[in-house]
Amino acid sequence: MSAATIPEIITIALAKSFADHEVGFTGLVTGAAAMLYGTSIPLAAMMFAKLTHAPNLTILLAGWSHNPDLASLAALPDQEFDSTLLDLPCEAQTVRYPGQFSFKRGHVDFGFSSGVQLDVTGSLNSVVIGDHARPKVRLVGPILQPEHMTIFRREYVMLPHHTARVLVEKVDYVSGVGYPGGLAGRAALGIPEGGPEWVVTPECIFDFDKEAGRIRLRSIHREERRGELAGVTGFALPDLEDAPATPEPTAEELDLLRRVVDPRGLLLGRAPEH
Amino acid sequence: MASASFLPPRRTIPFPDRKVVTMAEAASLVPDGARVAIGGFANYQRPMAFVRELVRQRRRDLTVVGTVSGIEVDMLAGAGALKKVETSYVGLEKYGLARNIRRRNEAGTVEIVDYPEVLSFDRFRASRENLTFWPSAYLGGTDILTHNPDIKAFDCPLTGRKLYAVPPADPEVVVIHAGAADEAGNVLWPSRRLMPQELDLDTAQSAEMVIVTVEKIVSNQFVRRNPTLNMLPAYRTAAIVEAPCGAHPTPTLGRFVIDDAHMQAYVAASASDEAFDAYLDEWVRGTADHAAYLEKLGAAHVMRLQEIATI
Amino acid sequence: MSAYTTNELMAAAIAREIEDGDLIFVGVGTAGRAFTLAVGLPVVASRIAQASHAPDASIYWGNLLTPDLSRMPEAWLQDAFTTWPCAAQLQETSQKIDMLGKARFDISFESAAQVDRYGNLNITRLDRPDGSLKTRLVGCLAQPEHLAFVRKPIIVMDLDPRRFVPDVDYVTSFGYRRGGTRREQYALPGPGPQRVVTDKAVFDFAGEDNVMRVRSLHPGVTLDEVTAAMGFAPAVAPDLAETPPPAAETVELVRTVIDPDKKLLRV
Repeated sequence: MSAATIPEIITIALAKSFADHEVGFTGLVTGAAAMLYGTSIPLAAMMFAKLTHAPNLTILLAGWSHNPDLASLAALPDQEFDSTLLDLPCEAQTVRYPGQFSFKRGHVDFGFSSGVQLDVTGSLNSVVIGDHARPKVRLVGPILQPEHMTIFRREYVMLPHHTARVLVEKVDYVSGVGYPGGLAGRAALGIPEGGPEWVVTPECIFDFDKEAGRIRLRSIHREERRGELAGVTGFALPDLEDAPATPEPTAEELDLLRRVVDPRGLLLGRAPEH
Repeated sequence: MASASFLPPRRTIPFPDRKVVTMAEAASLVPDGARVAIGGFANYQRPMAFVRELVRQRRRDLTVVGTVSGIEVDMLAGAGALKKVETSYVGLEKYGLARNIRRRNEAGTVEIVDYPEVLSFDRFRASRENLTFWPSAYLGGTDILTHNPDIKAFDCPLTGRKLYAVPPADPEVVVIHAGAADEAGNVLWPSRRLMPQELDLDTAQSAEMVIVTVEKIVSNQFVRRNPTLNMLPAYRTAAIVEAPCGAHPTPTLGRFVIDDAHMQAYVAASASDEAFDAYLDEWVRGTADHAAYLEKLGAAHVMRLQEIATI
Repeated sequence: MSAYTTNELMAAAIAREIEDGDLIFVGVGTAGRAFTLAVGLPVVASRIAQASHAPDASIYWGNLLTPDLSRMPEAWLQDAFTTWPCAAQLQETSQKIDMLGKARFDISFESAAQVDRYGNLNITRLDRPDGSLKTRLVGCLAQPEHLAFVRKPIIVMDLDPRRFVPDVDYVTSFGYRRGGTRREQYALPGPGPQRVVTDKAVFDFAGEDNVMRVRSLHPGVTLDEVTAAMGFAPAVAPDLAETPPPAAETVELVRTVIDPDKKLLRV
């Protein structure tokens, strides 16, 4: 069997962090790289978890299709309300607001979000680059990010590009709040719960010293990239030397992922030689 | 002001290990003194088999938070299980007044906290949205305010208008009766439904401990064939109990009509504490469980209550 | 058989208050006379109005908008309501209750255990003279909302000195005034109760203080009989009239088309 790809390594690492009975919320993100990190890897990870240690996990695809039967799809739709999804076999569909679950009661255990900037406190920006009144670049807006980062019980920030322009010391606009001032700082803002758990990039996984309110390197996907990481990251990496490798999936895990979860490579693409 | 937690705790009462449990196990999830919301509306589709099991287990000091209350609250009052009800109405509609609760309220042993009907729904909306209060503009001049210190006046910070902060429903446990669920705990609703069934959805969203009694347990395949009817997915339910005709003597939409004769007998029995005690001895404490209750009703009688909604 | 019954007279009197295009809220009644007052008279009145001057008046009943009243269900069971032909069946609870809160209803019907001269209604409790609870009643239902939001609430009750009292024991629903407190100070969207239709007379609320005032006496009823049946002295309209009796065609319509089986006007 060929070696694990980076998306496969990330998928297995994410899957192992989900607990049974949890509810995971994913949007349907468009664009190749964004879709891979925002939708496909999260879906593959949740499906893998359901087949292994978390059979009662609920997948909320696009926030509305519960536990969809993705294996029946010929291609992943690229719109959240594509009629393909309407006909996709599933357990429940949420077609009105409020629906079967309540965001504000914390019914979503974890979600996945992205942005164009993420800073050392874990705050995320998808609104503007530059000044808010006269922005250099106006982006889409906060969408559901404020909710993802507060009333979801934890959040995985999925960044398809690891560059110094994305991973910055301080974001230009906070659309999703991290840990400014640590957990005490969050509590003082009236947000005693939720927040980013991991930040996942093609290079590495970050987590947080939540007390201190500071991002830290959790693991690196490829040893040969360790020397390059500081150059592509916009903030200091004091723990660069000590960070372990992201665990390599076992042969059994890769087999389950490739043969059962994603037999046609719809989600993660086909691994070479597979 | 920072609080220790702003999301409601997932489990104030431990969930059972399995989703499908017996009625006795389900009722034991409700401790004495609990704050409970009971599904249905007026005298429609009440989880009466569950209520009877609470009476068999001699539950005490319950607070029921409701909207338009009926026989379910009256039976709990008559059995001495009820301390307080917060609602807009307690009565038996065309069968008249709810005499057990009325007698006990007038004797001072059961407290009734009055809310207008729309606000009683809004209180569940507040819980669903995890709000600490629901704002209301129209309570001035009523004695609802005089008798309810939990409602506080405040000035709207945006308009300056005088408003009243109404506390959310916040039940600890919700019990409803529905048509079908699978073993995982997905619960199906009829596509064409009325207030009682629709209100059950709102009620179920107001708490984490949601117990559902159902006419029948169906396969997960059945659920997946009807995903648009799954209004209460498995992660929202704590326990499922199979209880055919489980709303008797109240009706279940598409399955059973109201048992008119039994309602009349109930009303007659609720004329005095003694007579009602005899009713409970015969129909509730005298039947070991819901199966025994159905047996006492008799197959022929139950069959006559069946309804065929469509062919 | 007399030319018309009191119920038919009351229905015709209510029908005259309904304007074309009105959206009419009908509640779910209980039994006996209470059913006639809360459901029977309102439905018959609405159909009389629809057949004459208000063809586009609509009824909202249960959760059905404009149910087909010419085909009333045999028994008012849940399933009958789900399959009763209608213009729309509102499903979400919030949709329904927000129609009330957004003041979408033109007409509603109220009855109560007590009503006072200012139109305050009590359906919650009766007290002893010392203020302690004597009799527990049903609660509040949505009556506080009706009097707060509906454009033209109509009180439908039989005259009775125990029900028409100087001061209600408990204000479930606020009318125009209690003690020194007036309706204006609450800035409620609705104007307050507009009519009181009883078995002996029709009232409105008039003058600066909005006190209950006899507008018309039913044929054959004297003012003394009306005041004797009330626990307070109502104001009297200077142009006190006789309540117009229902036209023969109206009575015919009620008896042959609207309510041939006396399902609505039972007692």
